[in-house]
Amino acid sequence: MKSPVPKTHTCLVCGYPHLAQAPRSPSGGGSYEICPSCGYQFGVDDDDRRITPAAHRARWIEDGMAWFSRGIPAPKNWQPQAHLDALLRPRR
Amino acid sequence: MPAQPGPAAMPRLRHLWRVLAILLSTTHSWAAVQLVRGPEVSVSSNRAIIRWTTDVESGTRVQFGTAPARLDQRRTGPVGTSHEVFLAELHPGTTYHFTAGTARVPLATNSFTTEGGTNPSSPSTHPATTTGDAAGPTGPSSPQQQARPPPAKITWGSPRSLVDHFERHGSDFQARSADDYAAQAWQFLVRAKSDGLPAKLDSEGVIRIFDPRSGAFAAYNPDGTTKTYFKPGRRGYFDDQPGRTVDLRKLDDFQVPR
Repeated sequence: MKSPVPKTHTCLVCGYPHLAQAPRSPSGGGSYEICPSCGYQFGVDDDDRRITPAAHRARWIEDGMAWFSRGIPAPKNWQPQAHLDALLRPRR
Repeated sequence: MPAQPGPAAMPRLRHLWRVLAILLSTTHSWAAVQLVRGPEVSVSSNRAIIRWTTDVESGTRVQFGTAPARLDQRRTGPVGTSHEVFLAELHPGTTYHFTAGTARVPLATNSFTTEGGTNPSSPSTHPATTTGDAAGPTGPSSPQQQARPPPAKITWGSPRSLVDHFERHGSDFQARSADDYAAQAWQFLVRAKSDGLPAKLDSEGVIRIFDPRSGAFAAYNPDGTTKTYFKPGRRGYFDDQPGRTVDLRKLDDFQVPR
């Protein structure tokens, strides 16, 4: 029997599609997860430091969209621009 | 008799007054900005995070370079009182000099050295200015500090993320390493349960704890493992968090990882 594939979530800042937790829980709390791609910490950067996802995204892009995490390696063929495009693409 | 400005000159004069008023108000605001904490630098082999706090909202700018007289690189951030700037793609084993402040006024000057090639996997944190309770939230001689914490792989919810949390928040507690940071987060939970620190439990079973005295905040998964541990820069942060207030001393279902 196959083990269930863990559900992943998408970063609202950079579009990284493999966050372990939803950025916001149903009760409204931040996940406190630091996106390994862009470094945004949900529940801290927004709730405490008042850095909006858009502001962080702009700075991350300006800094060259570098992979953030030192503990979690970047996936093979990681394509930050593609994730970003998918996030920002207008939904029908 | 001096000539009076004609009607055509009035809009120009009004504009001049407006510019002067803006300049005066701006001068007043940036002259009043003062550091209340930091700057503190978390540094690894190729990356640094510089953080500081100001008494009033101000812009965020770091100028840095490899010589004090040649701060030829710049990073900026949003307006606020808690400031954080990421410096990426640094060279290992290199000393960088920097100023931290607003766009107009450098509030502090300091330097840091990135880690060399000898131990790149263990980032360190250097408070450029020593502030806060260096002994940690419980003090050096409390029984909780003397308790031996389990390894981080048991106490930290997502062990792969620990380094990132440590690099970001370790300097809040003068943590010497990622393991030390995780151990302090565990000790905070032990103390919170014995002392009954303010805590909230949300509908997903996440516990959030705040120590008003030290300003430390932590969130824990339902199994007691740590989600994050840091000192919020904003007053009212804990109050705004979801969940109902609980007395940790009576919350028998919620156990500290052992």
